[in-house]
Amino acid sequence: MSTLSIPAEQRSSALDVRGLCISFGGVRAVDQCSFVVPEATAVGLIGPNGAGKSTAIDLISGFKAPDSGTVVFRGQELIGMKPHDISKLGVVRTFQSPREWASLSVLDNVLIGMRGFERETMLGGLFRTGRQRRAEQEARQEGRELLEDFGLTKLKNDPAGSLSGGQKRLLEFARIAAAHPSLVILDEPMGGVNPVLGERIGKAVRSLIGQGSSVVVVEHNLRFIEDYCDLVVVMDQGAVIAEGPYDSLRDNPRVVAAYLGDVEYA
Amino acid sequence: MIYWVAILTEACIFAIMALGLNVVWGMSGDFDLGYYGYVALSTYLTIVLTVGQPLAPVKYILGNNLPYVVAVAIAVIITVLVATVVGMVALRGLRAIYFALTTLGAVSVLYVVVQTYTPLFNGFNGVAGLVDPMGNALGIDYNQYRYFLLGLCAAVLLVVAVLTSRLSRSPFGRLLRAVRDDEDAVAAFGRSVYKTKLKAYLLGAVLAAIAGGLFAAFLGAFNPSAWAPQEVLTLYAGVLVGGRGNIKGVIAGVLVVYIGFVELTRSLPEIAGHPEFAPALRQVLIGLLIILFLRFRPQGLIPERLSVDKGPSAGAGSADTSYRRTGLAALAGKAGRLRLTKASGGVR
Repeated sequence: MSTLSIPAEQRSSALDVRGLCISFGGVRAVDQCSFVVPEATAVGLIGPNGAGKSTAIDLISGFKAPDSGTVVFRGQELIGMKPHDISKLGVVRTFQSPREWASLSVLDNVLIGMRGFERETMLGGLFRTGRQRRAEQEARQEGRELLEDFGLTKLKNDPAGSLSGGQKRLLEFARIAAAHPSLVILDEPMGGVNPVLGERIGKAVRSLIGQGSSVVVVEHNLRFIEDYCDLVVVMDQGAVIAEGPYDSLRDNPRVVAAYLGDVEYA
Repeated sequence: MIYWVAILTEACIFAIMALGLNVVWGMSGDFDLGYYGYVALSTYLTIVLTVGQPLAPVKYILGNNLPYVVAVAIAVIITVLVATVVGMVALRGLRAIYFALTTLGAVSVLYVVVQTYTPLFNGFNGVAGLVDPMGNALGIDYNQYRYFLLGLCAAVLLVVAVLTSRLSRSPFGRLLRAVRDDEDAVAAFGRSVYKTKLKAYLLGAVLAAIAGGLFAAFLGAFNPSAWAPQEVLTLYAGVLVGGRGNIKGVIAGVLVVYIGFVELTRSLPEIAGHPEFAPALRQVLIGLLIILFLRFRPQGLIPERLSVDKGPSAGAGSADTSYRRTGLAALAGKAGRLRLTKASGGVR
């Protein structure tokens, strides 16, 4: 756990974003965006609506291709890779809504979160090989334990689409935990979440950090950023205008002008 | 009696096709409008691979004298190769309606080429001459052969039903359903959506081609008036009525649609001077059936079931839950999401 004893700014970088640019029509949605996510660190990505946060996430996770720029994750260039190949490297992202697989059971959702893709061959499924069945049983056991951790055991056989909004958020975190990711990118994890559940989600973020993962959180809830993120990156009009610990940004005039000034402080 | 043997044989063959379509549409969620083209291609190939060289003016390719089983195997391989090409084009980055249109285009091309390019499968007159394959070798006479063929088709259906229900419950089946529900989320968790869909698509084509091989033995002859791309809608009716994603449901649906609608409407009284009335009415009734099921029972007669985990720490009250999927919403879901993404893309 040596990484955690080093101050966040001095840790080696897990994710290095350099000069990302993308335009839609005439609009430069992301414009020379650069920032670094250190190992085992939670970085809050904030900024007013339209600042380009979600687009930046799409570029990093491969769902959109940038016009220019580089994204390096643990020495590996991600630009040009397919989303699923990026995910295989241990980078898992979420979307603004929970995006559960609605017709699958809650436990099945967690099982798809898990790695171990060799369980999922078509021939193994058609002919029900012994090896596949054993691997599946082990995965199920791990899945049940994860659901226990997130308080979803009673719902394990329910269709995920029938869960409440908050339960879907918890399932999303159970799914992420199942993937044992190295880098997690969360797009507004607090959307539609009540304060009690918010604390639970915050703890889930910290527990990912405790396991050595890095986390990027796009979030409008600044209290959440202040409470659970080690560093903050502020974007405005597609570019990064400030970064550092939350407290160092309170009085930054550019940040105040771009963002804090015209947003109610929750 | 022989009449009902024939109908049951046909129902078994259509059930195999429907189980293949159920993998592609029911589990993987791809609305494939070209599916019937694979059945037709395999039927043609099985015939031209078994009946020997054509006698002028009849023309067709191949014209081998292969044993029936070998011919079906080759027909399956060729059909899957064609499906690979179509699948690689249609499944890469094309979602929902665009995928459907591409497959519809592919099957329309096949249909027109088969009709107009005579050297392929003798154009509109089609190919013929496959009489009771394996009958001589096994020493079965004409009347017994009808029962033998029914038994063969039923046996193949049984094997296909067992294998596809295993697949449905397997981790691969789960992955297919996840792709059907939300493919971006599947990609975010490290699975190639394209490869997963392509595998399911090719398995569907294998089953279509096997059904086509049996169809060749059942019909003995095949020409463009015996099939049309829109036959696939009747298959969709079977899958939808029975229960999308549920193997037993799909078989039940085929029985209802084929025996209930296609065969029983044959016994409708004929209106003098309008011989085309009954066949037209049949199509209307099948269309009506699709609409009524989509509206009032989209989950079908026997709905898809969730996998139930019976392992330790099972929660109280977590009994087997059958549930309702809104069929129209499921059809529209992916297109709807696409629209949302596009709308937000421009504003940022």
